[in-house]
Amino acid sequence: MVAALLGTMLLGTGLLVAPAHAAPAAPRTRWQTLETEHFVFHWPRSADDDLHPFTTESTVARLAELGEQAWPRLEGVFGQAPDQRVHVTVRDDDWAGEGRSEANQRWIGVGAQPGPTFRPRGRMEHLESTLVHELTHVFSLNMARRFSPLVDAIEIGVFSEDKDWVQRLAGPTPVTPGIEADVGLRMIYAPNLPAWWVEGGAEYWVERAGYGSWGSSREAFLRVTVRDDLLLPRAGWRSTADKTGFDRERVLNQGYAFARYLEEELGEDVLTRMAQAADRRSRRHWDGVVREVTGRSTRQLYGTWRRKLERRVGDDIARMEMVGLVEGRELALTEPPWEADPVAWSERSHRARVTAREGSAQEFPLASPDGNLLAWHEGGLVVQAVNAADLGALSGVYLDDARDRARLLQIGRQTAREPSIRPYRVAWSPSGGALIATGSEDHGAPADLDGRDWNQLLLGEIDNSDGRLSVNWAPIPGTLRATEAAWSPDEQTVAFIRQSDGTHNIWTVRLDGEDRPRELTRFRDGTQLQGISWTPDGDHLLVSMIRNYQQDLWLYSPGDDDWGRLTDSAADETDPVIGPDGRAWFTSDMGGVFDVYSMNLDTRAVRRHTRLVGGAYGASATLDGNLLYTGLTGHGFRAFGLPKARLADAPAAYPGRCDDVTPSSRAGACTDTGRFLAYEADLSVDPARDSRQYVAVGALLPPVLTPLLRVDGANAEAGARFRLADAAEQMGLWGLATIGSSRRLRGVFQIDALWPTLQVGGDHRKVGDNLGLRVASDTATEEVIERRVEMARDEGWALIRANPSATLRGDLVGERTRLRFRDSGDAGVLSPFSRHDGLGVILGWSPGPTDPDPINPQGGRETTLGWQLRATRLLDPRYDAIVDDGEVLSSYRYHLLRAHHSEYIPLGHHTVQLDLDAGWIDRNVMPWDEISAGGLHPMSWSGGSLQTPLSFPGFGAWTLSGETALLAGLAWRIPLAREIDRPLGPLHVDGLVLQLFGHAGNLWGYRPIGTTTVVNGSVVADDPATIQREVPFSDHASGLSPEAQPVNLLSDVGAELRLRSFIRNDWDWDSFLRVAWGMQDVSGTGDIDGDGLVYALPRAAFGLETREVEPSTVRIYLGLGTGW
Amino acid sequence: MLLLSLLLSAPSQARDWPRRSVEADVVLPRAGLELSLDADTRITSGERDVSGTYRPWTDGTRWTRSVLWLGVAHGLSDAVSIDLRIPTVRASLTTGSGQTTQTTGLGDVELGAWMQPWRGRVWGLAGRLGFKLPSGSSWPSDTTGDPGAISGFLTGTGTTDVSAGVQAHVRAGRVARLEGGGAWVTRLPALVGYAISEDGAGNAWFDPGDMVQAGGRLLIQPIDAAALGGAATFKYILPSAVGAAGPGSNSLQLTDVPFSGGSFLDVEGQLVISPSARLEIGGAGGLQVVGADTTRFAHLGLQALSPQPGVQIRGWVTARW
Repeated sequence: MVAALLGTMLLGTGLLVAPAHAAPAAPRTRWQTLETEHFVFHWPRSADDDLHPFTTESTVARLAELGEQAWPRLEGVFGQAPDQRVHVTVRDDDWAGEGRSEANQRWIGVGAQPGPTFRPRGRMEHLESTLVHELTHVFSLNMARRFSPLVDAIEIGVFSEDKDWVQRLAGPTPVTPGIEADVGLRMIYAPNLPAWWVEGGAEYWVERAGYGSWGSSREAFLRVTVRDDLLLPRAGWRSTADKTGFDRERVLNQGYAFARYLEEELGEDVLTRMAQAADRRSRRHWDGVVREVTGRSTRQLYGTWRRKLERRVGDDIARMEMVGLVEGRELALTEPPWEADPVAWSERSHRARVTAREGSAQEFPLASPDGNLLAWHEGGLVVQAVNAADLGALSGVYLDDARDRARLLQIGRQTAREPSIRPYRVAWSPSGGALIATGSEDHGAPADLDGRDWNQLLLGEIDNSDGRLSVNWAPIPGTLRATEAAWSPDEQTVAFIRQSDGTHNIWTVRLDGEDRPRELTRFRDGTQLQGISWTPDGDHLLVSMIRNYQQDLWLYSPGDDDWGRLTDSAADETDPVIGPDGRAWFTSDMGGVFDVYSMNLDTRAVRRHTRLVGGAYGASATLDGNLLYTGLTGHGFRAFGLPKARLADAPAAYPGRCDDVTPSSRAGACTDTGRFLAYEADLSVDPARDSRQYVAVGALLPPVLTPLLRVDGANAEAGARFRLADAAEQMGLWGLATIGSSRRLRGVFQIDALWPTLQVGGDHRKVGDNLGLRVASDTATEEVIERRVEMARDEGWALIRANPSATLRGDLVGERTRLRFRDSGDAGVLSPFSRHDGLGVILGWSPGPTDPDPINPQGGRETTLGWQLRATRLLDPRYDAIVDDGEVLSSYRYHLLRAHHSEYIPLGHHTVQLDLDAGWIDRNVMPWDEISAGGLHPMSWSGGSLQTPLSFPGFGAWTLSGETALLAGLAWRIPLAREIDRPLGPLHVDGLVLQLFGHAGNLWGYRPIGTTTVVNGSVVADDPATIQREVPFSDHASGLSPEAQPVNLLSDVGAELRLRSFIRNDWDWDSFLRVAWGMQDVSGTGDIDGDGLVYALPRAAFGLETREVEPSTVRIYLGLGTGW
Repeated sequence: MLLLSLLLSAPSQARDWPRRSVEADVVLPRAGLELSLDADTRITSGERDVSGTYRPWTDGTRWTRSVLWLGVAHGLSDAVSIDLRIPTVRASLTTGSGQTTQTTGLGDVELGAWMQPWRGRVWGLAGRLGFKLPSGSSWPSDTTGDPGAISGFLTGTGTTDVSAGVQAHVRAGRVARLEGGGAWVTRLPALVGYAISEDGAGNAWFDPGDMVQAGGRLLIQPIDAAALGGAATFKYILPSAVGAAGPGSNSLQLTDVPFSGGSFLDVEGQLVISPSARLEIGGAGGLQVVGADTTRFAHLGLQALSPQPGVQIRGWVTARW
């Protein structure tokens, strides 16, 4: 009886897959805690002798001051405040430029290092903009979410496998459907807060609280969005989850602009009143909130705002054009169609224009001193042997695909790419034979074995000797955490900016390695530096300094540690660089747009060289006097070129320049640099004095629960998912608990405070099922009896995980699993049946996919190798042994080897995915220890954290099994619609993909080749030595083959539609329909054909078939909101 | 316990709880968390025959069924509360000769949601969607199915209930509150371990009869700290049915179980002590005054299938955050 039951509930035991977890902790890091009136700050401090020393102590001091100032202002804006302290975690080793928040847990995460967001948002004080933005989330979302803060969503799931779903509809009546279908539905109910209100509102409230402003960068971003017809539609800015690149930023930008418009039209508290209205009553759509507060629909308001905006921006651009635009063209070898014929281009469809211009950002074009090489960032660093004549933007004549084919091929050969280089401006050597770039700490190393991958300067030697250009990169010792570098005129010394604790300082290092790197400046107060280069005499360094709410140009003299100021303006001067002409080239929003300027360092005379619509940064001049710059377009940052002849060259009145010749009105500020640099904010807290050691248990955040109700076949259960973590994510507990006719209690506890990560977990699962047994009383009579049966699986594991790099993973896993069963007569007891122990190692390498879009992952590969030593013991005293493949088995050990590789090959927007799986067990084992395969619906909980079947969707889950497995899959994904960005009922639909797939392979077991005898209904080999392993592709896989139809190779083909969508704005609600045809008949023990009936073993005593056969059939998998 | 400890670690975020029981809404305040322990014991020393007539057992036999309910309720929003109650059941039969048969185990959990979209100053109307899930033990300790050979009791029906109901209340100042409501309970059929086919080889389907419930309560609270109440609960249970699959197929014929339905009326008196708004202690005593045949499923020990006559005492402690 039990054996028959096991046949229906095969639980392949195998490699344990650990759940997702937080980022690995930095080794030997100590955490501190500081409490203020409204906040609890937590920050890390590395060991003093750490090779990667860091702390965020001074950043915390500034944040504490800032937070306490901001709190009453936000309380004034919202009219209320959280009644408990907000936890703020301040990190330095990652999260550059990021802020995160979990509003219902009153938790904020802040990265101490400024990130790249100031380009589209404007240069602001990084800490202010980040902390206050996230703090507004804590205020506004808790005010508007209407839900209890303990509950993030409610989940209802329904799942039925095989023919169950028809039986559920028909009830306990005769049903024998001919359909194999797995159907799952997962519904989510969560607070309904649209992204434009959440994110745009946060930006708006930051301004209301006095910590931000709209500014020229945001205006330029909105201007090019309108100009390039890229405004998000009303339906498209409800969610950020489907947005990438500039579209994600557009949600904030447009939301902020819309909020300011609403204030202008309806009063300054209109957004806040929306929070109050949302809190009062639940609504299907946010439009109900907008209507209640404004009296108008979102459609009306959006339409009016958009029309006014487009008219205003059109007028602005017309005024700019009247004055005269001075703009470059994109640095392309062949002419971009949008520049060749703008009128024809503008008549193309919106989607065609967006698709054609999709691509990675281009930044920081910089020509070599001799003008024969060009370097820029585009998914890494590109170095190309081109000159001004090749670039239509500079020469006026583009290369032609047909006419200049030979030259294009030559340039192709003379192009080098290094993907690991990070997007900071490179520094060419004065002679042009080498360059310095900011790369990875682990460049050239086979792996990152210390868990860190900081910035590091790399020296690249150019080799263009054999007609092919290559760059030989080597790390420059002592330059960890560098951002930008400058090469001294004598080529001996490199000055660089290094970041630490939210502050930048200037360092130098000699390339001959004679001296250790020297820290020249001693800022500790959040000062940021940007754009560093040497003056031609080698006496000064030109930088842009962000300090005391200003960004100005400065000259630093390393020799006497002296600062001289070049500007003291209300504008922001960014990315300065000394050009071949000796002038300081920089960008500034002095005119309302970030245009390119240059300054004569002797006379301080300033000239303006561009009049742009979108603005620029990272500008530089070539030897010929041409201009290169990074320009802002609606489609992203692109590299532009402007020939010298077309440069505007008019002297510019530049208020705030520190003019030694004609003293400016602010000459005092220009000259009294000592006072400016000596100023330090009076901070009321001293973290070094006032802090205490962090205790994770004392910094637990409120738990988050997701109540769930699940109906799975004949079973129903209810409970909740839960997660609990401390503020610094040093440890976490998550899992779920359900109870009902099935039950599950799963808990995972993980300690990230150590390196490597430690994890222990347990999973108890009890399921019940109705089982029809085909019982034979003689060779001619068969009877079906129904039984209610239950099984439980109890699993525990311990795992040690090392993530030496972002792509490498190593797990040491120990686990124990016990199976228990119960049927009539067992009363309340689930009888232990078997125990399975394993100890093993799993190694994973996953450099990809480079595009992790879940609906169509592209690029890169993933490889997993695993080994386990396993032991199985039969526990039930009613059974001395189990017979499998003719062998009597009760207790044994075995080795399990598994390998998997996936390759994601991009073909434009299409993807070809190749999967290879192999598995090998070194002896004959019981069925539930064998490797298995089949199609598994994502809603299935049967797999749990144990081995899931290899994907073979043409066949039922767990219907294929054996001790040897070889399986290959090929899939071709075709995007049918991308960036749909449209509502569909309660959903926000993002994309639709068709996937065509096929698999081929098989699983092979053991078989007795000698004489056999039936013992207690089972076929037993007379001589165990005659039980032999089936050889792949030589023997047919007997266990999977119907008697008269031996098969060596199983195969399936199928098609799948994937729909990427979101529900309640940001909750994943991905759906799929998969149809797979298993092309061969298969057989096996248990409910292979999915009809809920299995053969009982006594059949063998009468010489009857004990294996079920499932004819070749089509299987349907439907998942609504389940993922795929 | 894990969930409880998780919940208890959450700091209170609820608005103020009403000071008096008569002032409470059916739904909890948003973010409010309520934990309760509710113990009830029914003591039976007789049975009702097919006519519903109570007939005491003369030999001193006594049937006792005690349930300890662990309850968790949470105010999901201002208008919706969710709740879960997990029972531990102890069933005991002591015969006149002093022989005792006893079973302790997890019972069938109950969960549901109260929804109260509208409310007035002195009145409230709420709807409820509820489930009873078969988490209890519905496996007999033997397979004979003979009531005369009892060696243990079931703690769950093995079937799922889905219920929908309404409840209304009206208050008179801060002193009195009158509640009334009703519900329809659909009890779904299932293949259950305790229904065994005649040849003993397989199990049978059991379809417990659907049920209509109605009830009311009057609560008088002269002071903040104490209230007195009286309640009545009426149930009408439709007949249950049972059947097994026929040979050679999974076809099924369900047959009504005679005298398995009927009407039942229980009354109860209550005393509620409220030392503070966040703590309530209560006690109640009651008895079944009207009932139908209780012998059909008595050997299973399932109150849900055949409510046994007798007295019931109850006590509870409720803590609120």
